[in-house]
Amino acid sequence: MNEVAILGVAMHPWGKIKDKSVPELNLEVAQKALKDAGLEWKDIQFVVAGSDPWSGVDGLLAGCRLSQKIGNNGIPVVNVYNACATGGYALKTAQAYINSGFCDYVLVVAASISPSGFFGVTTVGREDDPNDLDSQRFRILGLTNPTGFAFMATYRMHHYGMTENDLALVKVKNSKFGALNPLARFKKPFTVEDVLKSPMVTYPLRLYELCATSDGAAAIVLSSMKAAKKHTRKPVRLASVGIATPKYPDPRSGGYGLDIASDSGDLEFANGMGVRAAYNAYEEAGIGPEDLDLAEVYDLSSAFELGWYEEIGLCKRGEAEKLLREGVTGMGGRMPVNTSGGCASFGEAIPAQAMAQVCELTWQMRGASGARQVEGVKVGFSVNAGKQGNCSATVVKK
Amino acid sequence: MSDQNAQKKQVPAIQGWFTMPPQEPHIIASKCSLCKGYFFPPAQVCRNPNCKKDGAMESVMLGNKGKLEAWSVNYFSPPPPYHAPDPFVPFGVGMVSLPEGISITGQISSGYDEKNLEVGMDMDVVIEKLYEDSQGNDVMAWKFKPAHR
Repeated sequence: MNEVAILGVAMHPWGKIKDKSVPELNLEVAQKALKDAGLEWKDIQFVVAGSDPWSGVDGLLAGCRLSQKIGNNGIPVVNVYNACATGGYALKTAQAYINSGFCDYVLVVAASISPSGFFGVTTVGREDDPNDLDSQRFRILGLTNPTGFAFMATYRMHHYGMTENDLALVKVKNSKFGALNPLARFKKPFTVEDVLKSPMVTYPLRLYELCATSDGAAAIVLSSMKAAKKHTRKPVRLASVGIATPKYPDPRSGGYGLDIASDSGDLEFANGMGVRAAYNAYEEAGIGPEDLDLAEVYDLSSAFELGWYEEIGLCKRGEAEKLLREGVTGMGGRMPVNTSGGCASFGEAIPAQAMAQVCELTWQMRGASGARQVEGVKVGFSVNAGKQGNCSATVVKK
Repeated sequence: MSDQNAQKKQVPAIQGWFTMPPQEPHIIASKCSLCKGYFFPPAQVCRNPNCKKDGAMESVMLGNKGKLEAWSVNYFSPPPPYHAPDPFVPFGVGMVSLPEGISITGQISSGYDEKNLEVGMDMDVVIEKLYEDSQGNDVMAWKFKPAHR
């Protein structure tokens, strides 16, 4: 058993945060999570921080800057960045260090202040550099992230009969949950008509079916199960963390549709690494998809949410639309998905987003999710995927 | 003005990734002499982790007829280094599987009505102008054009 205890969680509300920097956000959520855990900073023996790619060296050395702000105490600080799966990789690092016996108490933390609009290239230099594949995908292909996301949508429309109405329904479903989450950035419950009236960004995806670029911060305090006994009788458990990277010949090894070319022409298993991350998490926790009570899946676009239903085993290939239309994954459904409101209600604060998923699962397990609480939940699951094919998944148990 | 036009050239967006007119339009990939895997953009080393990697990487022209796997139409201008015309014109982007079993993404040939795109369509590789550079040269790259086969 690799399980560790989730002693404390905290999030800063998501939005466009104008008055705080990444170090300030990390300080705020770290202190809140420590308080939630009933611990003090001096109890923490190890820090894993998600780096923010948009905040310069302060963002890259996020954990070090936090340590400097809260009081350097000489402990190891690891700064990690694995795109949208950063939080998952940070949790995996923490879990591995705890289970190796290296430490008992770990603070995992991440914050992001991101630019608005399309994410562009972050490289600098000659735009005709053949080794700078990100520049070439913008320059030669005009391929923004949402356009890459749209490939899955036209694929699903052709092969599985997904409709523009289904895409809107995902947003409607997630916005219903998000309206009940005080931490969400977008709290308006949308109707299908609202969504279908929003501008077409990249056919068939409309503005409200795409994840916004957001700012936010999250912190999680983990401990060994043994150490947790000193603080609580029955902690919520991080039962497993599955991570995966692309494996030749995964067709989309640079991430969802963002490659110039693939090593394989097979789109069907476009998200092989996402599937592997999910099943690594199931295997480590000793469970399967049939054991889940709820899930947080990475809805960078409405189409992705549907893809995940199949990739994490909630249904067979081509059956996700049916699950959505029948309300199985909605509020009051048998298998609620994205009770936090998902990226549809939060946008994405890249390094903190996978941690936000785990915060939601923790509150659900504690019965502390307020109006969006799902009754009787015991096993939760989260999964995400990001640039360069970085993927992570977790199982959280009551 | 006429002098400038006389000097106007066609230059490849990246040298060695595709043929240039008046040659037949082809995307140029690498083929591993050991595992026979195809790689684009061209690779210095075989990217198959199970390959011994001491084989030669051969430069090969990929077949120029494929099938559309997925597509989209961009209604907003991508950020630089996309060189957007002013005013911006929406354009199609598609993933096309080529006969060698790899799939390549590219813009849809200018002037094609994107509303008629359909997964599974036959597509031809074409080499077309992307934009005009600061010296007035036409910067060229591969695009895909719906075929009638």
